[in-house]
Amino acid sequence: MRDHRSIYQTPFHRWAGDHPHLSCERLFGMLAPVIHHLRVLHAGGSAHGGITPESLLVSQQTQQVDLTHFVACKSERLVRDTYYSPPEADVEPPVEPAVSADIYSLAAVLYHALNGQPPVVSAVRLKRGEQLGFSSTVVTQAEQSAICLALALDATQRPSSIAELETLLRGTSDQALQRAQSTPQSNHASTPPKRLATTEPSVPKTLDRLPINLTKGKRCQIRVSSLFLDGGADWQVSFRKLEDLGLYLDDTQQHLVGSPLVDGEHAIHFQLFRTDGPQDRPRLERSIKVTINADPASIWKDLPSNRDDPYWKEDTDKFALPTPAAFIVAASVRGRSHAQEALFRDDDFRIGYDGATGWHLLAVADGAGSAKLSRRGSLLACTSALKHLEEHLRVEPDEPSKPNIAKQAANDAMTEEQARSLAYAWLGGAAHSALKAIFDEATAQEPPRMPKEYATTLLLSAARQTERGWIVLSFGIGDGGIGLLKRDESVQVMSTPDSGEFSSETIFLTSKNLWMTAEGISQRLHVALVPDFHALVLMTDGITDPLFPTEVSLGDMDTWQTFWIDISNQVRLVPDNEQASDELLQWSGFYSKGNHDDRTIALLLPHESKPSKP
Amino acid sequence: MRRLPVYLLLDTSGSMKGEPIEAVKVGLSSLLASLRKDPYALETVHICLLTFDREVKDVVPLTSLEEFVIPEINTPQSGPTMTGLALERVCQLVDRDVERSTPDHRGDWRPLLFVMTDGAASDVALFNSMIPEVQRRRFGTIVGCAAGPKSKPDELRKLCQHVVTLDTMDGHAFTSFFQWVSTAVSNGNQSAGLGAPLGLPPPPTDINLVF
Repeated sequence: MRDHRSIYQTPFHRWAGDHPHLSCERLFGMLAPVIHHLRVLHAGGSAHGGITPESLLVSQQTQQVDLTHFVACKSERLVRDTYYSPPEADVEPPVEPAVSADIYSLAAVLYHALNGQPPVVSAVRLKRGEQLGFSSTVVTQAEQSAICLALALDATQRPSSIAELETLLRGTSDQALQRAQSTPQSNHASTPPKRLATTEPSVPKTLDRLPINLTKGKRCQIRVSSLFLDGGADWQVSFRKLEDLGLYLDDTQQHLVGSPLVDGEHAIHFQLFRTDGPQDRPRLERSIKVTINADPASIWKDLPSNRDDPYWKEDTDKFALPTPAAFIVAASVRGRSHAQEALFRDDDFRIGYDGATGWHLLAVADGAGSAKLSRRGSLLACTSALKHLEEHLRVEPDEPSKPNIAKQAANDAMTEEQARSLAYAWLGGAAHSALKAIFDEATAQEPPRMPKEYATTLLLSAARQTERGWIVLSFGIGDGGIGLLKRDESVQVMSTPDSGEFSSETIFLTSKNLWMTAEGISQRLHVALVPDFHALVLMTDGITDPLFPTEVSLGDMDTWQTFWIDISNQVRLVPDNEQASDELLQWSGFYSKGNHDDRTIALLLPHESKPSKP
Repeated sequence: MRRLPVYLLLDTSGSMKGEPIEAVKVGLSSLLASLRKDPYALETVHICLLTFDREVKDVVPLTSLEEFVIPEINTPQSGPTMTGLALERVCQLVDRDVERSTPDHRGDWRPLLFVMTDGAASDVALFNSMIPEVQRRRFGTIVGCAAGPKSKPDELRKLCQHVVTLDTMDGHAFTSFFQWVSTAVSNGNQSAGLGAPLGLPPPPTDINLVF
């Protein structure tokens, strides 16, 4: 026999519970095949006698009740469900069901679908004279009256046919009232028509959904009484399968506590008993939907990027270089947001040291997440800018077509103005070279690419130690930041923020009309002539966003102190530490909520004592 | 903490009553469920839900995805569709709630706006006058969803960068739409050039992109 309770079919009352706003009319309409079948039965002088919501399976596809199982149910009628059968059926031996019994059952099914619980068992209503009430707000007065009438304990009071029930459901409330009043009262009648549809005060209303979400693994406490909208006082609660959610009742029995074990959409199931009633039989079944969030830190995926891509690059990169004057260490790591999507690292960096002149050269770039080939753009920008910087240190001084950068760069006694002039020509030229490299490559593609597909930021620094101290030059387009941490515990910001109104809005190297003017370059140049310094730090926004989130914080010594203590605790930043770049890479993976971009950092750390003159 | 503010404007006019609004709720649940599987979204996405029919309601103010609980959504029997009024309210809320960057304050990500309607705006004059106002708010993207046969995609096209149409208004169609919204939202937190619109993934085959 086929399993009727497959995933495609849901018992009527459950289905109604999942669609709490369906009108009585709509629910009644869903029962159309069943009603048609009952009418045929009734017309033939018999009745079904076993209507329960359990035997009414709703097909997910047609959203109507499947008749197959319902018809089969009649012959299988073994267990009479007291929730849905009228009092006259409660006799031994069983009697043949009457039409009025089907009317009662049908009304009980509708009642359950509309209220989330069956009507009070007829035997209890007979004994205690309890009234029926509606907690649902979608039921009209007429519908309430009609259903209560069909649930009358006296069979003669009920509508005489399904057609009459249907008319009453669609009619005005007066019709049902008149119908009830015109019927002679029997001794059993405990449903006085004038008190129809009054709310039974003792039936508690519970929440449909928990008003707060929980988080997996995060301890929570929920007051049991908060699950009730009203009327919970006289009821005892018995929770089911709480442990599956990772929750339990505390010693006072007043709170649900624990750390949820599972994430997703779940429900807290429980039964309600009357504190003054028999305990062996659950009276009401309830469930309250609850959303359990995953702990974001635990669901990151680390998916490999496609190695066959022509512009594939390693997910991490690192570099360390001791020079006579300083120690350079750098690391670049793919952000979690990229690892999650199997995307590439868009950041890049290149470090150079020109032994003949003593210039340290650093380039760091961050490809735009929104640009398709930005990982290539950042690589091109770093390599071509660095190449430009190195080449111009070796240009013959008397080559007339080139600016005499090499000569300027060799000046040990340069003034700040001369340093700015050098930076303008040398670093500004390098940025221009980087842009040109991108344009050349983009246009050489078949078909040609748009340069903006290679969008990237670029931060450049050049530093050299002289007899008088250090010359530090920097130039940057876009976000991220450069800081010069001085020996006197102060910091000099060596980048101009290119941020917009909203987070991570910035400008890119490829937007040349936004920076490539004399003024645009000048305002992005920074120079420092200092006797000595602690560190020169270049960072992409993957580092500055979490650690130096605002323009002000990049110049704030307290923020730098925190940064420095953190990094020094994890990375031994000394030239003899062969693990320095690995440790820096490790450090770069720090967790910061909401900050999961690629991260690149390059540090230039002058030696404590002056090196001997080469 | 920088947030990714997402504004959802849902039409709850009389014509949405019954199955359509239930289908929207199913779609909304699927949107939340799939966003909750994305750790980046879970840490950054904040959602503001507005409904509009004869009046505009801030059903859920800007709330983190972690804390967002699907609310009751009610539809009146009948009445006008005040789309223009809803846009006016969105502008007020964006001005009030979305943080801009200043030298000592970190701004939010650019907000996103999704508008779903099954009919035409009843307040046409206000709707038209709000279009430049909405555009001045510099949303990362504005997506319109014209649901069902009576919707007016042309009207939404004046407002939105992307307009999709749904032929039917069942749970399947809305789930497809909201799933697509979730991928668009997941792309909302990445660096972009000043003023550049956010790129969107192609929509699934059963929803039509209007050009």
